[in-house]
Amino acid sequence: MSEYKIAPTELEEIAAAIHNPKAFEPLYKRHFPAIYSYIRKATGQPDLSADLTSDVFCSALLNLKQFKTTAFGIRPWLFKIALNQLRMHFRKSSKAMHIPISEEHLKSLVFNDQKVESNDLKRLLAAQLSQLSEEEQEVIQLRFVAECTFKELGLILNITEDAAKMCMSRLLEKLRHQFPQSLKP
Amino acid sequence: MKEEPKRKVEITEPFEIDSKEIQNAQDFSRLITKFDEAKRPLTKRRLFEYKQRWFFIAIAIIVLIVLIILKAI
Repeated sequence: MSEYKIAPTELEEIAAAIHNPKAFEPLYKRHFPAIYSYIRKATGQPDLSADLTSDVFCSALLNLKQFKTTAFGIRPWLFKIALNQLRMHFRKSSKAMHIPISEEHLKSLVFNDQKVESNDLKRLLAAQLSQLSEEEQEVIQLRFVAECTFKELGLILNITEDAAKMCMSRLLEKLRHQFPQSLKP
Repeated sequence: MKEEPKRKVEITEPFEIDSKEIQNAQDFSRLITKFDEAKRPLTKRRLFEYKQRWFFIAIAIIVLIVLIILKAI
């Protein structure tokens, strides 16, 4: 998970875009792929993802004055808007939120690479994840699907980097604890 | 207290999104109002919904006028 490097001109572009919407275009082009990928992986639907992503940027452009400049640029703020868009979408629709993750990655996350015998690990873990709160599911999504760093996670969730690490570790512990006894290594 | 229903989660196979799909999405969902003119940007979907709404209102008005004329005759 490589740390995102802010473009050297980003803060100037944000400042310029507040007064001149045309200056928003480079920000839109730079961050579109990450935001689209995040939404696309959560919904699994290309057309819907394109719509939701355009809503994210529309909302960002309209509310740019409210953006508080950070050393990490606009990316965490865009993810925060995307998170809200997805939250609204999943509240309206009865569809499941997708978490695209390989079985090997799952095992390494939840069971610390210990051997687990199950043909149905994904279904079992999906059932466990469905029991988590929306916020907890979003933490997993942002960390493992959007590949946000803990610093970014902290900025998105309005917590410190250490609190984000702690939150993730507690979540994984909770998942391990909730898993059926028969499968525990 | 009524408990909020939990959101369903489905674990799917990981996949990479190719640059062509991203490019298509970027073109498709590009903010309609040009950035240099943007005061209240609209997305393509919103613009479609907006046009659709006005289309139905226009049809309803025309039908109403036709009905009034027919009644008058």
